[in-house]
Amino acid sequence: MKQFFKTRVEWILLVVALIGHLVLLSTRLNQSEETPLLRAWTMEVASPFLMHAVGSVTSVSNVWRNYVDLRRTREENGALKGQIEQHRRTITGYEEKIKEIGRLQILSELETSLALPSVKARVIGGDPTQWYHSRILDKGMEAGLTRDCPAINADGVVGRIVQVSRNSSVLQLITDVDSGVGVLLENSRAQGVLKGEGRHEAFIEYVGSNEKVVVGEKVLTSGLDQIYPKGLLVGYVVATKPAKQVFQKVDVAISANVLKLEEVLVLKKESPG
Amino acid sequence: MGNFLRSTAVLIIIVSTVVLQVLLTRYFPRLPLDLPLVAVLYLTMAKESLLWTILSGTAVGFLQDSLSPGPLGLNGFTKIAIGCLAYMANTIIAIDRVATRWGMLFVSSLLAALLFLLLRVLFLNRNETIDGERILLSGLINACAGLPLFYIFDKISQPANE
Repeated sequence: MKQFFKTRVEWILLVVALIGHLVLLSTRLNQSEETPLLRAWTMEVASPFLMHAVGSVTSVSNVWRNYVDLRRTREENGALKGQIEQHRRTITGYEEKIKEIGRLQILSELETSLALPSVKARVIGGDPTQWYHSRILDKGMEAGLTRDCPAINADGVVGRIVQVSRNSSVLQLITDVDSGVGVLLENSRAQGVLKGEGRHEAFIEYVGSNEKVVVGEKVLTSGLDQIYPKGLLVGYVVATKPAKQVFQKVDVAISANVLKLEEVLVLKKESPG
Repeated sequence: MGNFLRSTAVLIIIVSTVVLQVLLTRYFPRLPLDLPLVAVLYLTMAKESLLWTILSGTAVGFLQDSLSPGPLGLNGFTKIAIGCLAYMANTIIAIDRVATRWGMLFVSSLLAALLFLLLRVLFLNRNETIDGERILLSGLINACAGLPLFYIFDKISQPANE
């Protein structure tokens, strides 16, 4: 039998580290309304790296695309290669800009139509674990974001802010397993709680088995959770599970494509008074 | 001093796996990959010291938890515990060949997933359903991605071993 621990210190450190993490896990620090300072600092330090990294990835992918194009044009005409490449690069840049302007335009129209204080934010990162569905945004407290601010895009509700630092925030998507949204069905007016399944799908809990739910019916926010304003589109009913007990399970297709989020509109919470 | 610098470089690379993970999941949200776990396992194997497992597990876990909606402590505990198990396994079987490394990465990934879900049930009072297919896929992807990463890490830290 080999010796696992070379020194007593290692053994003690291991026990202390494991117990420390369990204590951290079970303390109220994680449940407090405010983002813990250490966590906020970490987010603050990480966000500039992520912003630059996202820019670099875009540049690298542009360079790769251009390289492929370059090879094709070289075969056709060497003399025109540089010129074509330059035009292509410019066009690609313009196209990206046009697409971005289009998306921002839609968000601006949405912002105007909602008449609620809001902030446009860019997605700068995904979830660092494989277990949650979240995105890191480039706006934080400085832009007026706080915990529980809802985020939407032109297609519907996408999630809510769960952690905020000065210049970045963590957006929990409505498909996350820990997410819950108070919803109501457009026609039947049945209310329930939309829960994420962690697989980019969601279902509604607590819909009475006597409620007549129709496939294709719109799912809207009910406003009862006091996070999402009432009447925002969440998705559409795709299936209902036969009622075995008091409640039936309603499967929902989320209207917003949360897998391809690039920009979102975060609705600011109105400060009391 | 040279060893210190190389160790620091390794630590920076380990931490940068979290940044890489965040970027990867931004562009490939469905990818069930846990690069930080691979990095912690590498350090455990390469340094053959629990101290490195504890340090890297804590740092990487804290970073992951800070940038996700989950509570602090969850990923740190998982990384240290799985790193410790891998360390123990390494004292019994020499995990230095491709096949044993692949097996260790695969099993560690499965155990990490199960431990993560268990902690959520025990400490966060969540009802978890075990998605066997996803956990297996995650194990396969982590094991396959881990091998070239181990090779790269080996190349980086090689001068320290000479």
